[in-house]
Amino acid sequence: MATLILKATEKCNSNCYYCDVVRKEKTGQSMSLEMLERVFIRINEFLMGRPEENLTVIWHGGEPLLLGPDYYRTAVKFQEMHCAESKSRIGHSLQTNLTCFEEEYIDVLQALGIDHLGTSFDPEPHMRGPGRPCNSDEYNRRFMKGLHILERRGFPWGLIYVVTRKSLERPLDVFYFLSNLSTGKGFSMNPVLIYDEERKDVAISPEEYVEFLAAIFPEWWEHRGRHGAVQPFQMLADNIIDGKVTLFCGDSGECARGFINITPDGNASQCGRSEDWGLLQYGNIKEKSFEEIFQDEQRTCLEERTRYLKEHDCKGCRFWPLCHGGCPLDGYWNTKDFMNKTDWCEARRGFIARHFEPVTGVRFDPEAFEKRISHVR
Amino acid sequence: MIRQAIVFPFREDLLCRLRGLAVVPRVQSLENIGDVLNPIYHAGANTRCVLVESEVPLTSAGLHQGLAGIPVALAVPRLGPLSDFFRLLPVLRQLSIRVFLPIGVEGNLTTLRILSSLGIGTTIVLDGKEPDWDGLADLMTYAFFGQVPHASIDPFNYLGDNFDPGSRNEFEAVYFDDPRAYLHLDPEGRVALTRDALKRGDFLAGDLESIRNGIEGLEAFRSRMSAWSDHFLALDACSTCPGWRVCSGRFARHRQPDDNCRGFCAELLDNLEQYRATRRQPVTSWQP
Repeated sequence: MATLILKATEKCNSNCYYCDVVRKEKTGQSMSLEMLERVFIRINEFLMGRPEENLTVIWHGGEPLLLGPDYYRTAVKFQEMHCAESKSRIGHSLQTNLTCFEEEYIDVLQALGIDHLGTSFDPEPHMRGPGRPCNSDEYNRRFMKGLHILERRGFPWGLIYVVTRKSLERPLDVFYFLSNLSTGKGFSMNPVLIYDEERKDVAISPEEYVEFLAAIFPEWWEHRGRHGAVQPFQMLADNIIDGKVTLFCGDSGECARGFINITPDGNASQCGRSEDWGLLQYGNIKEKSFEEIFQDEQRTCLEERTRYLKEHDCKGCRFWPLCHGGCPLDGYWNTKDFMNKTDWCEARRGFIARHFEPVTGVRFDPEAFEKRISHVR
Repeated sequence: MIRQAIVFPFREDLLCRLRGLAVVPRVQSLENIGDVLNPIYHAGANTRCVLVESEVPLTSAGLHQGLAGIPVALAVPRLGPLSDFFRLLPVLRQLSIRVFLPIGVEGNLTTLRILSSLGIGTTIVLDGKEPDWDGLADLMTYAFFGQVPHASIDPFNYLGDNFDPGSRNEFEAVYFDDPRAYLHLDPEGRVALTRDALKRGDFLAGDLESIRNGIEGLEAFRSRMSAWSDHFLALDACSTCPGWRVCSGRFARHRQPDDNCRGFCAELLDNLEQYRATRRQPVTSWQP
């Protein structure tokens, strides 16, 4: 399964406190229709060359719905025009803040094959919204308006919550708020990633993230049927208890050949963060096919990393199959070298060993999990 | 098309507007009930039930055998003398009646339990007074798990029958207050979405004719249906309540939400899940 992160616009109508996109100098660009057409031509070329492959397009930003419904109608037209034979192997998802979502988007997003919207919310005032300080009142009202349209039309959606220093004051209240808002649909609680000094006031350490999760986990575990698939808990339960294999990009050890991030001007890179940091740049889709981009030599360093960490930093770690050293970009940040495990390693290990296993009474069996991974792959 | 039942203060001059609709006439007493039902029948409306809002105790409400077969929702402030009640009981048991009692009145939690155990359906009325939360929790447990056969106690049993673990669960319909199921008329025939809106004089339409194509597309209806999100915008205590999805703020409507109602709603949610998990399924007997 290949994943294309399509940043069709870097414009955003919000100025979320912890977001890096709005801090980039080159904000404000949107992908031209000519470039969008090129994307679909490249998708088709790639899929026709790999008859067994599927590809998921993640529409990202910026705020992708600022492009307007006509933009997506054109995307549908391009897909029909250029991917007639391969479109059954193309999936789409979209990550939006919902604040400019209108009823008329439903039909066109469905026509494109999007049957689920990813969104995000923060109950803490002044974290999300336009302006500085963020006008969260206005943002939240518009978010709810979008949510009501989705609910009325029965359109599925999911929620991401970013855990910041402000979250640490009352973890269970935050958890109930999110569970109540999503009523069993589940949500993700991801740690805030801050890489500058200016916003250190909301940053959290891996240990603080563990404590935040630990305050919530017993409630989720006892009532997991009620709260739904809350991440990272559900993923751990799937992998450790339920005999499944569910690993996100940063944990799979296999992100090297599976992802392309494309910016509005057609530049390809490994992922959103690698683009932000000017790393793992693979050229422009005007000159290069997706196949060439997926075969880019730079990607071998990511494969090397997995092999290296298993024999060095992560040697003997029983949680290796669940983590594979974590996200390479996280590992890169402190030393400017990919051959490091993620800074969040202790958070993962600490949470599983000190909280997940004692609460559930189930100990992770790395050998059995490795076998399942081999079977899946 | 209007799909809701119309709750209206009984007046003959309103009947001509109700042809073909399901209706709930509101009256103050059960006297001369035939004078209410016959004109409705002849006007071509279909009586869902009669809503009696009485100010006298149940034992003085004028219940009699002639009401048999007529669905009656009887709101009374209290039971009345127990001796009178037991004299009335044989009649009461023949009626299709549901008794609404406010929980802020001392002794009513016990009355609700007695009525239920005698096979008479009841509904607790949240009257804005501070409830006896422990007593209410006991009543809830009895409603769900009482081993002795007993009639339903709403909204608990309504929730038990309709509980969807993956949704917000509302129970306003048991109070004729869910605009998906009921609309309210004032004496002039103006239409309100809810009982509170009726009291405030906040009307959706000047008459039923102007909403004959239905109300689901109207902004006021949509706004009412999405009112739950106000709790999340206000970041109030309901938004972080463990029992939110079985209350949606209803128990806190006339009071500030606090640990009492949060604790009660959390227990309600636990009980509902347990009730749904352990409820006996209908058994189909083998037959040759």
